[in-house]
Amino acid sequence: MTHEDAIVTKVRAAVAGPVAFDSLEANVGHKAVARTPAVPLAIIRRAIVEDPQHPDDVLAIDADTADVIYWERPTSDRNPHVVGVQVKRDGSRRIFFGVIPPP
Amino acid sequence: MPVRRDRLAAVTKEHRPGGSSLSQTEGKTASEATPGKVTLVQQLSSEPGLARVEGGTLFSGPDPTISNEAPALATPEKTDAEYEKSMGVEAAIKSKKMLPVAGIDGQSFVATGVAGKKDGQVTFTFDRAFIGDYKHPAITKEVRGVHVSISAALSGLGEHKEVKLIQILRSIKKVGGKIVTGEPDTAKRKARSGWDDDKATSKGWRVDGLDSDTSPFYVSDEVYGNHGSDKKAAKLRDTPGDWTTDTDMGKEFRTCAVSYKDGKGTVLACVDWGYFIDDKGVASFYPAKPTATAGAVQELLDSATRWDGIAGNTKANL
Repeated sequence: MTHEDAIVTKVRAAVAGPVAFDSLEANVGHKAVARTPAVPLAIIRRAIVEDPQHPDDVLAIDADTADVIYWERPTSDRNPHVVGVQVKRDGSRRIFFGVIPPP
Repeated sequence: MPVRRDRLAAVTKEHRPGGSSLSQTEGKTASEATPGKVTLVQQLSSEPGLARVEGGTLFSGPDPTISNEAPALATPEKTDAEYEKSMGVEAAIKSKKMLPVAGIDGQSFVATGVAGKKDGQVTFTFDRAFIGDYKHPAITKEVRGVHVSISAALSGLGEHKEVKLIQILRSIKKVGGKIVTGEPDTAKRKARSGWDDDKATSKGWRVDGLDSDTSPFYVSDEVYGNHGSDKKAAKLRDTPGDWTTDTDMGKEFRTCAVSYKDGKGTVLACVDWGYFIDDKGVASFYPAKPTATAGAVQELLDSATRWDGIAGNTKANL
């Protein structure tokens, strides 16, 4: 199992379980690259674009989005790849994948 | 720090008047030539706004009871500071990894004869113009590029009382000693750039916005700026760059002030700016000095036409 597989598996498990947002980082066991509110949603929304390998798991930040946290995945691409969790105001959560190109 | 020093003479609180001899561009200090901040506030109109169509979408006009009042003086410095803190630029400025660029930071570039009016002007003021390296706020990676906060203020434009900013850009790279258009880095950006269309005009130029945006206007959140009027300057904040490992690349921008007085957009004026990182990793503004021009530039019209042709987009309608 590659590290990439490992971190994605851990994030999937965290999303599936009853893990509070503030406990996600500890539950996944890796330091997150960024999370709200330390990094504002408006900044994250502008930074992350679709990962073409995961077109069905795009981060779409709207008015119902409460929090976002994500981790960097190992890649040989020029631009960093990330996997994360988006939490809605109703408490629902979903995994997302993304790429961060230069601003 | 790999930043071109000859363009980085220290900028002090006593901004130096530009005195440019450019045909349609005039360098002035912000305090001299930012009517949206001072002069236009003194030229208040009492005409209430009306409902209008902008880019195919109906917007209600400003509240007449509000438009009759003198707007409070904007505090861009505070909001610029908030943006800089969010973007990681504040720390870079404090540590002098990003430096103000003399001749641009605090300077104004004026388009004259706007909208066919002898006294019509749009003043683009670079309230902030820095260059250097900063840590990307959304990833643990260093960015090399520029940081700008641009105000666009109207004067002498009569019926043009509301203004929105549309920004277009293209990636550039140097090949064989020549600057050429670079390939956009996402499928959405390629579509907006006409990248896969051999017959595309101004190929590579696209409306600047989030991949998820359907509005052509740059400001998607107040942290990135605001729309403007004849009383309040429009504002745009942007901090583009490339990774510090990148060389021979950059981006060009055209920031354009658009009025939707009669529903269809009237491009009042545009200002050209950008950056380039050379083969040694040295960043500089590209062109070295912004240029303001009245009316639309062809790249904007071509980019907007492409934008309008994408299903689901609110039309720029230029």
